[in-house]
Amino acid sequence: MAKPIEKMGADEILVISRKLFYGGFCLLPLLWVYNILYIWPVRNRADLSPLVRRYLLLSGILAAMLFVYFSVWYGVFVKERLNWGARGDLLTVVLVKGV
Amino acid sequence: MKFYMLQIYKIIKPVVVCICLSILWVKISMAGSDYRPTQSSYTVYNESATSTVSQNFLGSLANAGIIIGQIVIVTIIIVIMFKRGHIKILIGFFMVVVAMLLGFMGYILLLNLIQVLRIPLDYITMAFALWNFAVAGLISVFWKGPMWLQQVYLTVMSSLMAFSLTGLAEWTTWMLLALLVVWDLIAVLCPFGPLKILVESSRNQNQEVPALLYTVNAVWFMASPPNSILEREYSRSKEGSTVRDSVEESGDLRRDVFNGGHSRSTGREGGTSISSSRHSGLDTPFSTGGRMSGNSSTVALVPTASNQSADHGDIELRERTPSSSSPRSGGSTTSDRDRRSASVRRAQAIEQGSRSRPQDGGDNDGDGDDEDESGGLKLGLGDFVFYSVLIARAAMFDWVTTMCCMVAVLTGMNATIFLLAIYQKALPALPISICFGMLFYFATRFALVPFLAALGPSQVFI
Repeated sequence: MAKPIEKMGADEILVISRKLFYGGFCLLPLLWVYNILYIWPVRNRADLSPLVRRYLLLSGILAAMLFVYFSVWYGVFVKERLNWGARGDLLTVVLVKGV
Repeated sequence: MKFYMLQIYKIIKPVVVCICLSILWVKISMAGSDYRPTQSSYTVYNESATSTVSQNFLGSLANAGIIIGQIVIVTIIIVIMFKRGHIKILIGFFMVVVAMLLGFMGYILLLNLIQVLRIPLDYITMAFALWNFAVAGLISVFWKGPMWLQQVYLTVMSSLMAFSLTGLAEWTTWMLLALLVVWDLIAVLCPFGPLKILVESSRNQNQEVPALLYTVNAVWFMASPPNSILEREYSRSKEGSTVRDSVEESGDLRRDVFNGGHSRSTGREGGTSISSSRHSGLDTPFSTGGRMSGNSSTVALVPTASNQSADHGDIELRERTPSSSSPRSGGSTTSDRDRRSASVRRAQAIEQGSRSRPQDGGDNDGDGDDEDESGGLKLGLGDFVFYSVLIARAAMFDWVTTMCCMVAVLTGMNATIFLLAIYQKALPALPISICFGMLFYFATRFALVPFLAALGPSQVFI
């Protein structure tokens, strides 16, 4: 744990935000959420680069898109998995007893 | 004392959360899951219902002895590595351990949850979620992140670790806890205890290594004790005092290593610093997991917050400490990692007047400025883990026992903190709590539960 975000310089925050943003593309949408949570308390600081806000915005949008995507996928999976037969069973982590 | 009260509250919160999570995992996994943690492949003796008490005793002693031996060895290796300055190796090791812990243990736990709760889940989503979970945990623990997130991760990791240890047989668990108490005492209080050496060397090198490694579960800032006011000169030095416990656990093997070290040292400048660290390595129940695990937890109490601002004015320090402590107090609990390691060193700080860096969080390395440092109670992750192990074991028996043990453990922890306030030096956190917990467990199991069972049907209320 580094020092709290409130005490960091604007440059440091920018670097963190950028790293987290690009890191999110490695199938890591949680990093985008992480980015937002982390930077949120200082988002309105005067000396902050406007780039930080852009990273945050993009992070939020991308994370929301992935969330929607996975929600849809999961809904489809739950609804259709019994119809997929063996393929559906293969995808299922633990076969649910009963149904 | 008021400050301690505040600190106690802040420290108890994560402990209670961790314990409750462990109880939840145990209760869920006992509801008919096929994926409970299994015995480690390192156990040489398997309890059976037919074996006699003496067989159980000796067999579990052997099992626990193996685990403890592994813990001791790992601890010593870590101490040597640290002493020689191979900190990057240690950090890399801990990162692997933490990743493994979050990944594998999270996987096992998830299997339990989805089976018991009958959630249909596909492998794609699960792998994706675990990957994200583990990486985010690594980043928050080893790099930068909001304090509360770090604390959440450390708490979750501790509960995962404790969950993995519930795979041990009953006798082995109790024997292990008893031996850990002894080891904790030795490592922390003996002049050449490994943990003590670790703490001192970290102080001398002015490295926060453990912090990096670490997994400090919780750091709380403590306000400077009133005493500090009396002693201005010492005020700075005291800032340095911290208690840490770090526990490292190494998992594959299921080792539990628990080291508790205390070191009390007198700063050159006359300040005293105390730190205790414990390392405990736990082996994960699974052998499959491989080795990973290190938990380290550290608990440190720092009576006074150390701030170092560039100037070392002693007088100012006092004033600062309270103020500085307050803002942060909320935030710093963090702990992580289960398994492996955590070295904890937070407290160090101030010994040498030159710079004290306290770190709250952990990884700060480089900065000269250390406002961050603040004194606080630090509790090693290992402590979290073993408290949770004890209570999880109790939870496998009965709710009444569980609650009694929880009260006993928390009482023991408070007593430890109380002693800490008195002695102002690092203390091992396990002995009192675990002894209380074990005492209450057996008392409840063999006396209170039958008593309640008799009272229940007759509707007698006391």
